[in-house]
Amino acid sequence: MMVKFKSFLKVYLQTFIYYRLQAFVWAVVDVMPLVVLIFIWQAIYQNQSLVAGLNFSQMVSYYFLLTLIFQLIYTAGGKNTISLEIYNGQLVFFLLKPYLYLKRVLAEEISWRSIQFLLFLPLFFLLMFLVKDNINLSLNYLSWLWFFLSLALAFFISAFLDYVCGLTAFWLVQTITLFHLKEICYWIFGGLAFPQSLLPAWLQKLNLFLPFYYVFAFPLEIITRDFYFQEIALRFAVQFVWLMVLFLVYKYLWKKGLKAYEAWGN
Amino acid sequence: MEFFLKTKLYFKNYLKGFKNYFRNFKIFNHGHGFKTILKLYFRVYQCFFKNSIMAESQYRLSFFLLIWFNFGWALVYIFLYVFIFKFVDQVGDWNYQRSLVLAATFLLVRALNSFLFKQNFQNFADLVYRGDLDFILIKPISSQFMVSLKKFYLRPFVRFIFAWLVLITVLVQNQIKLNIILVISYLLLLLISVIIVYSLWFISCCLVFWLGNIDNIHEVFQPVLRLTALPFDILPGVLKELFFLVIPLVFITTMPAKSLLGLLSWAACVYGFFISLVLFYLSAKVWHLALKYYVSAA
Repeated sequence: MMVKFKSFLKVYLQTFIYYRLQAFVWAVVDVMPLVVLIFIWQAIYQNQSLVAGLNFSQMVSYYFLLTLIFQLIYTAGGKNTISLEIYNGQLVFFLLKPYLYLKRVLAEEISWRSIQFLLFLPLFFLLMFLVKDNINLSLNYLSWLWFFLSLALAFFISAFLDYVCGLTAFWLVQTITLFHLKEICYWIFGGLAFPQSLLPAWLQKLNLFLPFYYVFAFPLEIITRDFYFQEIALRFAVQFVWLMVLFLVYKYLWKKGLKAYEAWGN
Repeated sequence: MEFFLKTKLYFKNYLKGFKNYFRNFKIFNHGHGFKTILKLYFRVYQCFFKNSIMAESQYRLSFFLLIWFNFGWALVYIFLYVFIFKFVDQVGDWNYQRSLVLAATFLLVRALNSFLFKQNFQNFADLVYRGDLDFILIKPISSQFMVSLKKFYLRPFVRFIFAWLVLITVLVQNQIKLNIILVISYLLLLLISVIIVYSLWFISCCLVFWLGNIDNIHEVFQPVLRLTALPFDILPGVLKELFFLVIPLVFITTMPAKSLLGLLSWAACVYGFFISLVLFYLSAKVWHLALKYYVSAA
């Protein structure tokens, strides 16, 4: 099972190295908002030392980690691969092959993320060096263990959420609206725009039951704040439940979609 | 001394060339006068607009939903300001009301530039890589005009209206006094910002002629545009000078907002006007240089 997956990884890594300039452009595009936000928060913190219980170092650390996590976790296979192949009829080509379509899509995603992450790292370290005095991270090894575990689960939640939106191409001619809705939810509930502590209390509680929180905000909070064991265990449980729910929704839509699917031509 | 004389001769010949062109305009343009050429371009531009509406009308429901999602992004952006100002009183010299004027101006500028140029620059790399630029180069019309203005992106329509509503609401609620000069200077600076954004965006897209097939070349300029959401007063001194004198990003959002608030000098406006013309001229020169490196796919 892993042999086919490794072969896909190898092929796609070789393909995407050819498009390294494109990956570099995306890396620059992803780093620039960090620069903008640091200037904004620097100006805000000139007049006060705390904002929503966070000082400037904590805010800078938050956005630095957020940019790093975004590079590792954010998936676009639903929009760029699944919905496009369903719409163009190229899906037929892959349905005839003796491997799972999901395996191929995941291998493509991981390969692209790897190339882009490698090109992103030098820019990231340069920025980190420039603001190193303002980065404040916990060195609790247990926190880092929880962090990497939640990151792995977050990647699959992001992937399945993306693929579920992509599979709606079986029924909808244009799926871009769903992807926009997903992006808006990431910005508000996922912590992409600002830390969750800036949200009203009732919205923070509601957010714990939505999948978007567990993609970016939860891994970040593991590193930037302290949790009780019961709190972190409960949140891991909800994260795992969302992963299972999204996986089952993906399987259901895939089965239903294939029955409704039509393609013609070469 | 020799360099000075050579430069003087170069600009003298250049100006002679311009005088010659305008004196013999009809000969250079197949017997058509300046007004006729302008009318022809306007008619072509009208056709482009009609075609864009027809293209979007193919998927009406999707178009309708995308307009509102575009508006949703604008709402998220404004809510960001609302959230931040719940915890702070000001960012630098910019209080809540001034920041909302800046935010509304940023949304206006983005909506205008997306409306006019986004679709065209998204297809730019494809045009060059697939050789479809040939069909544009053989037409009896400016190729830069065709490449830059052929398609309209109609989705920011509600965002554009929303930005004006936010701006008017902030001005009325805070009783910010306006006069005809402030309004005219604001509109002029908006026009200058569109020219500057176009020129910089176009120049960044022309890199595809040298760097090869980069599908997302149009995204190179997007982070720079996002930077203009900042009030440039909060930047350190060196960066402030850089973004005023060298790469005039300050004229994209900050200066129009300041002009409406009565905080801008006429000297800065005049400088902005000239720098926008220089950048536009530079974009034309870069385009002509880039075409020399264009290899058709035939």
